[in-house]
Amino acid sequence: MSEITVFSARDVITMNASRPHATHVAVRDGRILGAGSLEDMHQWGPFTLNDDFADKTLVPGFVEGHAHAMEGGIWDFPYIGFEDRWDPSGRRWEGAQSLEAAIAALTAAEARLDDAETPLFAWGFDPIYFGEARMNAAQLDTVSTTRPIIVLHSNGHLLNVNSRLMDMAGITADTNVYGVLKDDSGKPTGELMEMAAKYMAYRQTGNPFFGGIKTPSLLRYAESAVNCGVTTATDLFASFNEESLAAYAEASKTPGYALRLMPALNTIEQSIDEGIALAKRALQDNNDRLHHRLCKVMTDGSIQGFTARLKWPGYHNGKPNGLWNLDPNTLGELVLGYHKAGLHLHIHTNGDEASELMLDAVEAAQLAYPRPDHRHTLQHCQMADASQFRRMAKLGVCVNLFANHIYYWGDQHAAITMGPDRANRMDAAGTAQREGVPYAIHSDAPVTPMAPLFTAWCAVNRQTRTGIVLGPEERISAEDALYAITLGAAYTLHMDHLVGSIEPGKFADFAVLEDSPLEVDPEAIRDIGVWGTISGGTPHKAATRTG
Amino acid sequence: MSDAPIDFTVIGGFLGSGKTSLVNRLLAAAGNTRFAVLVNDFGALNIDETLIRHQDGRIMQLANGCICCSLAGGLVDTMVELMRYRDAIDHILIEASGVSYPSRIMDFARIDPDLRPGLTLVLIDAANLQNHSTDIRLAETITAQMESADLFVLTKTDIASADMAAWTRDWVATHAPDAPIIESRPDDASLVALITDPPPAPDPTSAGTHHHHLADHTDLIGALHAHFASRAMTATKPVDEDAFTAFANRYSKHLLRGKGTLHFHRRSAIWQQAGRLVHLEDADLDIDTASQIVMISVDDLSEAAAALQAMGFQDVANVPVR
Repeated sequence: MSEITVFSARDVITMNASRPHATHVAVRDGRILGAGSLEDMHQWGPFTLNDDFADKTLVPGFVEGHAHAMEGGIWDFPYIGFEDRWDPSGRRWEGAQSLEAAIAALTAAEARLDDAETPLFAWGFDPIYFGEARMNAAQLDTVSTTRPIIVLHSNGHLLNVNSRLMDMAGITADTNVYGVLKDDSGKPTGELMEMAAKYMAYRQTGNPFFGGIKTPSLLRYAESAVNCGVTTATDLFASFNEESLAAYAEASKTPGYALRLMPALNTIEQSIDEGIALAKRALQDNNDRLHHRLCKVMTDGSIQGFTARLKWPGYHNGKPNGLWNLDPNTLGELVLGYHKAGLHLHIHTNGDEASELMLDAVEAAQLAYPRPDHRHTLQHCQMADASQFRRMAKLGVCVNLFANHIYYWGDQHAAITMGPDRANRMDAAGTAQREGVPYAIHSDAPVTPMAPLFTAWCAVNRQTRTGIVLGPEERISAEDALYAITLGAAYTLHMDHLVGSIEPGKFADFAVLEDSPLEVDPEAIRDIGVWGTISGGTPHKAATRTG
Repeated sequence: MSDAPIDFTVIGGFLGSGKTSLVNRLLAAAGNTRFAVLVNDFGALNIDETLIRHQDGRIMQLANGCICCSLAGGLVDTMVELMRYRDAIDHILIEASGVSYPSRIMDFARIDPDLRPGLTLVLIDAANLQNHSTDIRLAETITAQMESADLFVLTKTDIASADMAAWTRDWVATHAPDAPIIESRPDDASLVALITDPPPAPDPTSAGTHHHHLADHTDLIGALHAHFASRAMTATKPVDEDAFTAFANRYSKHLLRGKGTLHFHRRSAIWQQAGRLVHLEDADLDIDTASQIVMISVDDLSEAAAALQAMGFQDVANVPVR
């Protein structure tokens, strides 16, 4: 018989209602034998006692229900966002809190490139915090005049480029195309938006962020997960081409891989029949660390990009309604097809009109092909009102709310996109709780950093960056937030029989914390240190933070 | 490497309006034009497997030199990828999704000098526009699409009741008062002729060496006239550039296509007009060459022809010229 390891802890928060707390947990063959007191552990026979975490809190390994494995690979390019971030290796990328700081960071990144022509890409730029000040080509020209530079904004809608790139692309004062922004004298500023202008930029350099996922990114993604206590994570918008599928399989079988990976097929990349066949074929690759079955549908755009589809009265600042990603009828057909095939849908809906459309689609699919326990999940679902949550409850639909948005863009939502009233109900975990909708909360990494304790803090406190509490009635308790990042998220992924709580038979996946999220001041949940994780019974220490 | 820009055509319209039928017909009738068509769903194209020379994920090469591309990866990245093969493409045809804005797509051709803006056609399902345009989830999108079409094609008028067809025509005319409307099957040969660059008139002095067939050419022109008027004119003396530019702009809404070679007093130029975009670029023409143009419109062209006659043009007997 295999050896038994018993981990001791100051507290084991199990999320198992029949045994909520313990001091010890026994593990064999990567699975949990049981939790309890030290005496309880003897019932399994001889064991090795591991006291390394005797002063720490063990909780179920966190489940990130909406993130992207690109979080692993994007660090090949310099980050110039507003707040400090840490890459998977623990290196700190200092936040650029002014335009000057962003340029300085680019200059430092430029110095690390060898020849003079290699394009320089940077990501995460967010001038929303700089008032009226905008980045322009002249500033980027101080970084380099010989290589093209492309700076991606964190909202995904804008690029900044330097003069070298505009020369290559032939963008001049005479370019009269929507999306090429110009200054008062009629010169292009180097800020580009909309498809055509982005196309012209990427035509010069190629788009390094395009294409399928590769094994090194998936390996680094797992490192990033360990750093924040995550043991199960999605890659929630995946190309199921041969290269990507091989990478998922390879990464998941890499010895010491510390993550249970859940890719979600991008359903619009192929016809419905082909997509269903692809998703089913991928099931053959499943193993303890790879769980195919999820399928992603993109319904609308983003709220801060004004591309989310809203119900009346629309955008607070009067901007026209957003964009459907596909014809609404086609979206309904997608839902019906994948539902009928027994697959598990994760449906991006930001605006409330998008949520409504998809609730209609699930209802139609349920009437045509009733499926108990389908657990189709609305992802983001930031604008849903109480009536929509009631429908979710009736239809068996789960929700995964983008709680981090409240902190990062809550002030802008209250002032610009939604107005104060509707901003209060954004990412309404409190309503989900009251109406009995199974829910999770998420980061959408790399859009915001993957860190479930921070996400929990957002849902518990609902504080914006400026410190306003947005919709205090939608706050949830620390217990509920901990549930949402463990068993709640596992439920939305149909993984609650395998992960999400510390119960006999489940994978021995734990987050190892310096403090208990249930004991610290709710405002301090985000500050709790993460030692690392235990995945399948094997401890993985978080990278030491440097820089 | 060819320096000639690639023609760029956008076919918009809602689901069920017949876009795919038109694309299929264009691929079948491509002739010597190497089309690259960008579509949302390969499967819907219904391409005979024996004609597929090579298929690699999102890109499919056909035996007739055409390329089909899936838009699954998004228009931006698909276009970046496609333009790596620019030497193998004469004409890019985008089948816009029913919820996209054709003018934003035509912007690709306005910003990239390797592309030449062509027509934006919007197909309208006469049997269903009323439903769609009164659906709150679609109304804004449909209305916005009306702004950018050079030509509306009302399809399925055989299925729609007469009242419905009349309502549809009125609705389009109200929302897009400047753009011409025709009623046609989506795969009508006249649309193929309009989109496909009509081949040049055969030059009798080089008969036999020309790679276009006279029969094809005559067929195309014949097909064109099912829905459109065309007029070919020539001028033997130099043309006043200012007068011609004023003419082109004045008739920009009237002409679906205009093209030709022009001999001005101080330079020669190639005129390309598709929809409302007037394009004159320098050309290096023999000093003795006459100006030759052809115009295509839904409406009668006699007023435009009169304006050109005042500039010294006269009719050529129904023969378009390149």
